[in-house]
Amino acid sequence: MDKNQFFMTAEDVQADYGVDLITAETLRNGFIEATRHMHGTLLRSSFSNIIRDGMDFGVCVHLVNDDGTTDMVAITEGCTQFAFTHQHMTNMVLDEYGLENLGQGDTVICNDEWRGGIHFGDLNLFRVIHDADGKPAFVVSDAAHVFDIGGPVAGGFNTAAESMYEEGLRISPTLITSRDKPVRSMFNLLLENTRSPLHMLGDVRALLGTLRAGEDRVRALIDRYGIETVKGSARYALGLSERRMRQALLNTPDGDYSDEIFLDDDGLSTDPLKIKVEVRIRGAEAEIDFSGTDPQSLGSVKTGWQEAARAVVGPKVVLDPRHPMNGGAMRPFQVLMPPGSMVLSLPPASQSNHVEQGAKIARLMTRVMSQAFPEHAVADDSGTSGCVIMGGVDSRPGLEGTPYGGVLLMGGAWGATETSDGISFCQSSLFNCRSMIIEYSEKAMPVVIWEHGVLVDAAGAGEYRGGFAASYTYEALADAFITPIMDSSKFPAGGLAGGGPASMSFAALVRKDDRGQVHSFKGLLPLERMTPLFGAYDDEGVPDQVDGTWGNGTLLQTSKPTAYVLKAGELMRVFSASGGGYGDPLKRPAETVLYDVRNDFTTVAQAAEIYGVKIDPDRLTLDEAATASLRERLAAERGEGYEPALAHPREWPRTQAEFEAMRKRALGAPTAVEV
Amino acid sequence: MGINDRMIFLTPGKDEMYVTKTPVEGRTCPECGSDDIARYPIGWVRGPRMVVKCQRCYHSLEVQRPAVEDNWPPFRAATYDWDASPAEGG
Amino acid sequence: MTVRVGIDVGGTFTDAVRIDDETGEITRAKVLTTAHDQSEGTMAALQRLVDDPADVGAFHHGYTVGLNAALTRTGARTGMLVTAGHRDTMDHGRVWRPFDENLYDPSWRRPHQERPMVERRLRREVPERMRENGEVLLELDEEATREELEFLKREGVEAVGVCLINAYEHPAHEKRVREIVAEVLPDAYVQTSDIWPLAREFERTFVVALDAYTGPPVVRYLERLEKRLEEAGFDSRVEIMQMDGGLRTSPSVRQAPVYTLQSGPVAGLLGAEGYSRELLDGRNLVCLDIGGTSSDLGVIIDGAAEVTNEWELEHAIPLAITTLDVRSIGAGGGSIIGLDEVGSLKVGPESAGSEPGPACYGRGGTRPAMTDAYVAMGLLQPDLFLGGEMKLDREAALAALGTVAEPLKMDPIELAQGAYSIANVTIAAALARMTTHRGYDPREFSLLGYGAAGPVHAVAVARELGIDEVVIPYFPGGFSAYGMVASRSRVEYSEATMSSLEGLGAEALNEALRRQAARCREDLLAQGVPEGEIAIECAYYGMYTGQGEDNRLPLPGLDLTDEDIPRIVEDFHAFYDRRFGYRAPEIPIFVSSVSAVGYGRQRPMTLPSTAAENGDGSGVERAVIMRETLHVDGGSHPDSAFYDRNLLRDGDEVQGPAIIDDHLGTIVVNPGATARVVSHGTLRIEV
Repeated sequence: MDKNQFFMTAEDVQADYGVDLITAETLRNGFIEATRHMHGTLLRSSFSNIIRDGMDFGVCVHLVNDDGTTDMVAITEGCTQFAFTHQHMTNMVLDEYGLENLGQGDTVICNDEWRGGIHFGDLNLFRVIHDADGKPAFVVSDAAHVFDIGGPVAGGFNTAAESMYEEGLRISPTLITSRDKPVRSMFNLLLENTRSPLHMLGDVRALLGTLRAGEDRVRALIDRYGIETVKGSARYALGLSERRMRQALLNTPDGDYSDEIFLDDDGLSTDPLKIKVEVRIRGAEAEIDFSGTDPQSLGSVKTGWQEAARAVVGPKVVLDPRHPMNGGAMRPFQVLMPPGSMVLSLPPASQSNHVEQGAKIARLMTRVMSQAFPEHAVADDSGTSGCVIMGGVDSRPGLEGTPYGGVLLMGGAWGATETSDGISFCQSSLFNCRSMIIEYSEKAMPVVIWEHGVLVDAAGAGEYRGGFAASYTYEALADAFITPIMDSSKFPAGGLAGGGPASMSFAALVRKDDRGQVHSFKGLLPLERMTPLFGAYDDEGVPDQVDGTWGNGTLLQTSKPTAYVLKAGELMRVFSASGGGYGDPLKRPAETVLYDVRNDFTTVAQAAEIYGVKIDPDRLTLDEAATASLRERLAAERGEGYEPALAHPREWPRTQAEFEAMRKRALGAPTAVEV
Repeated sequence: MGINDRMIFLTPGKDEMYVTKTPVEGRTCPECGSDDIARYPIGWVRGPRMVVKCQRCYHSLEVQRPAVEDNWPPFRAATYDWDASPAEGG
Repeated sequence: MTVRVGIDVGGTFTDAVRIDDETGEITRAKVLTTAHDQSEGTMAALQRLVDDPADVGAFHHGYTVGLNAALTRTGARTGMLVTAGHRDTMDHGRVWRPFDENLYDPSWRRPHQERPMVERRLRREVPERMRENGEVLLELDEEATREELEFLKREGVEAVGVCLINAYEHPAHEKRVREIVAEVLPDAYVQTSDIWPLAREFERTFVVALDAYTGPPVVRYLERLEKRLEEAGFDSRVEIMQMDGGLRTSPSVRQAPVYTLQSGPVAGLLGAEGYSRELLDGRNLVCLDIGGTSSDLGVIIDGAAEVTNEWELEHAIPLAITTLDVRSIGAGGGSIIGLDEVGSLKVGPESAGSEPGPACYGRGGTRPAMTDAYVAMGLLQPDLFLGGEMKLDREAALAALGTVAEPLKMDPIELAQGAYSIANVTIAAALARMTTHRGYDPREFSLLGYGAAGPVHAVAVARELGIDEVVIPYFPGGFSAYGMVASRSRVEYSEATMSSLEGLGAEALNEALRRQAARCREDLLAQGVPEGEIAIECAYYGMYTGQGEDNRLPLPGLDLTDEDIPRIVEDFHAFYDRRFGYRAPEIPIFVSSVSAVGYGRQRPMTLPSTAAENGDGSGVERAVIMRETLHVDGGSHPDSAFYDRNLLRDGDEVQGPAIIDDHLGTIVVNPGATARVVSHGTLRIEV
């Protein structure tokens, strides 16, 4: 890195921000600590499981600038998208409401994506902190996804909604506390339009209490250090992030970098939806232009304003991942969005299932920035949230008639890099939700979670492989409405630098055997017990992603059904997509491939076919000589434009007997049936 | 302006969507000297803005709050220009 | 046999304390930890304190055998048996990424994914399934279980952990699996959900796995130690410090060795409890123990250390048993002072270790560490370090600091002061999370500083927190060993209730508590605690119905009546009010579990008697050993006095800026602070 361009000496800090370096650093961390405190408060005091378990929230502190705009100084992310959206939203909401109208103890609430929100289920709250002269000095904000905000579909993910009128309550910037007293009409509006007033009241109280806690922390800093020092340090914290990002952009060659990506469909029609971006880097600035993107879809997978903010996640991951996120990191970017396109749909457009588009934006931006900065390139992630919303009415003794809902999160995977395998069981860089405790879920909901694990072979091949596809198998004990938040079932994610593509998501209904057992080993189960639900399958019902066809013999023609009915006693299994590989798989150390095989991550077959590693299938030992010659042969056989095969399991046991033989062989026992 | 103009929109019918950059006459970039200057709507770190920008080196000559006729952002609250009532702190 | 000994094995040093209950005499010793076999250093320390181990009546001990095995991944070769379909529980980490520097980093993977303790190959699936209500969805497939165990046998596992879904409430299948394990692997170390029979399969899997993984090395260690003690003539009870702050006899530790995983920092808090009780009128304390690599922080409220069930070895490797709440942060005397690419100043968590160590050690270290900052500031004098045993190189310290100060255009001493300040703020922020962020008022606390470097930062950190008094015990180094000697037996047994408080009522609660209290009594009696000395306390974990994070709260006792319930309810609401800023009286309270805690006798804390009686009349000047300039709190203070602590007397007063040298440590009295020597050699510093 060119150290001199943006490096700040202690003298520079004093001159530019009016604070000494040590105090500035102290307060930079003080702001982060204030958000840590808010995070702990919200996590422990909220009610909806999507907040307390899922951690779908964010808590921030912003500086009020002299012109009334705001800059986000610090955030503690639960869900990382808030680290980007709240920078914009705070500005847009306070601009519309009028910062001058807000006094001590006033809180504004808003959930509207056209004011920088995400979808109606995410409530965003804003509280202004005034200095001793009554001037607005800081803002604390928080956001959380609440259990239900009305609309025809419980939980609010109405993929099939054709307009916002079918999604839930839309809240423009509205006062919810006035001098710390609840504004009754706003509370009633929320409580009377939700299916669960209990959760709503609890969550709103938690969100409000969190803002008060944040204000206490910020005031403690002001009391200790004085308002001018604290403001100067806030500007320093912002400037530091900005400098780091600009430094990284400067190290990236100037140029125009572009690519396009497809969402599977919008849940209403089967047409894929294109999002295109060109990133133009000039010096320490960059323009992110979404021109060329498809017009807004009918179904609710599109978004309002938020990609203006969320697009910056790509530069964040590739250029400066390890520094705490704040608004300064967003300063070098200007985002162009065509009105009426997927990335800036127009009212009354529906947007409740924006999530998969977010995951695709993260993948697309990471991919394009990787083009620009190959030393820090990251292969494609799974590009899907990898979760399922489940809800309905309980029928268990003593709980009859009780509505329930929850998120079953299996997680996706990240792509590999030049130095590391991609992580498995992880959401997109734009999200960061946590899976529920199974034993609590089974108390709270009429569900049995039979499995949460990875699928063998399903990770983009490479010297470094991508993270794995993960799956959940769950049984409904009462009729349940299932809304998968899934994508990446049609178009495989790519590898990088010779790495191979990742597998795609798919789903099936699963049957137990006569003993009531769900058979599964390494993620595989007998085909005779699977009924294809969505994804790519061949004519025999094998989930073949190379030679199969998407939608072939599947019950659904979308990865995004809304409120699919899973009847009591039925089981569903959903697989997320995996991450792309990095580098030539023939270069992955043979011992590492052996480790993968011995730990049931990779089959002997894939080890040979893609990695060129020869392993004895019964003793699971490495044949080094055979590996060397196999690798030589495979390398020689490659033609122009060679790409490793899409990595997913090719051999599925067809019958129970074949499955048993496979399992026994893995145990090292002699087999009765040749597999 | 009719109340619906920026609150309810028709679904666009085009195949692909673009952002139009309007050339600006008579201005030169103070950083690199180019006269290839354009004005267009952006998502900026502090929200929706119009930028006057050199298309060669990407120096921003001005970042402006949108005028009403810029129709940016597309959505605009019907009460955007109204005074706050006393109950809202006005 | 009035002699009690406490020996605490730490990372670098093994500290030992001997207390003679009859004479009140306290002696201490410090030897280097013998990492290859900690019992060697333990015996060496013992030999320094007593001529004849037969004289020792009580032997209290803490070690890091299990912790080291876990951190370095050198524990027992362990297999896990889990419900089919849940093989990846130890790797999925509940799917989230930590909100620190790793949050956006594409090269990050979870610690257990990168370096597993139990490889996936050895995590075997058992076909079985219980519903949460006890209904058997799938009968245990005993043949398949046997096959998996034969596999583990061929793999040479020495330990087996069993953790099945919903077994915390319905253990029948686990019981049967345990029997089959005993048939196939009769010599294996086995652990099941019995060790922690509470809901949360993710956490419980790790309690079981960590115990299976670290249990065998700990058991072997205890066998070696007991043998050495026996050979040396010791014939009393060996009691081991647990993470919950209680002692357990060595034989009974073998049931669940993971409870002793990291007990050293916990023992320090016990010493603090004793100080609060006996010397400070029950004052609330914030505890600051700073060593070479890290700072261990804790809080004493109303005479008792706070407890938690959120201890983590590393991210997504939790140990959810009850532990005293000690937080460790990477800021210590060896923390490296550095710069990142754009000039951001960093203090730690990287540490200089002891090879080569800080630049001032003169062993070839060139990167500046906090100890170099202390030297540059004058707080550590080259000739006084370790009682003169090791001379420090001030020029090397300044040169190392210069490599970071120069690019920043700062003076090396200015940088040293800045690094000191940043360290103080970092420590204070972590302490604030344990106090003010929980609704406690710092003015109700004193700060107790110990460890090698605790007293260097104590006054400055207290000021950051708004605390107006610092207390330094008579021997801050080795305070953990002292705390260990003062401890008492403790056992805890819990039962999942998973029901509303209203639904349970006093009767059901009493039944559950009595069941667990009976187990406490049985355990304590088996450990040799006299019946009359047993005391039982009760607690529950509760939250508002619909939430997911429960909180530990006290229950009045074992014989609850209906009249007690409203009091319990009101205390619950008040807790939420103070901690979270609201109460929700219309929402029912959910009780996830209840616990009974059994204690043995609380020994009185023997306070050090020092040769500190007044009567000499010569004034505090007698204790001054040198004068030198101190650069601290943003200024320079020439001619500041350095005092020898051993020459101070009760009633002496030392005005800051000053240094009190303790031979094994340094106490900084910042400008504006006043230190007074009070009874038993304790220093109380008004900040």
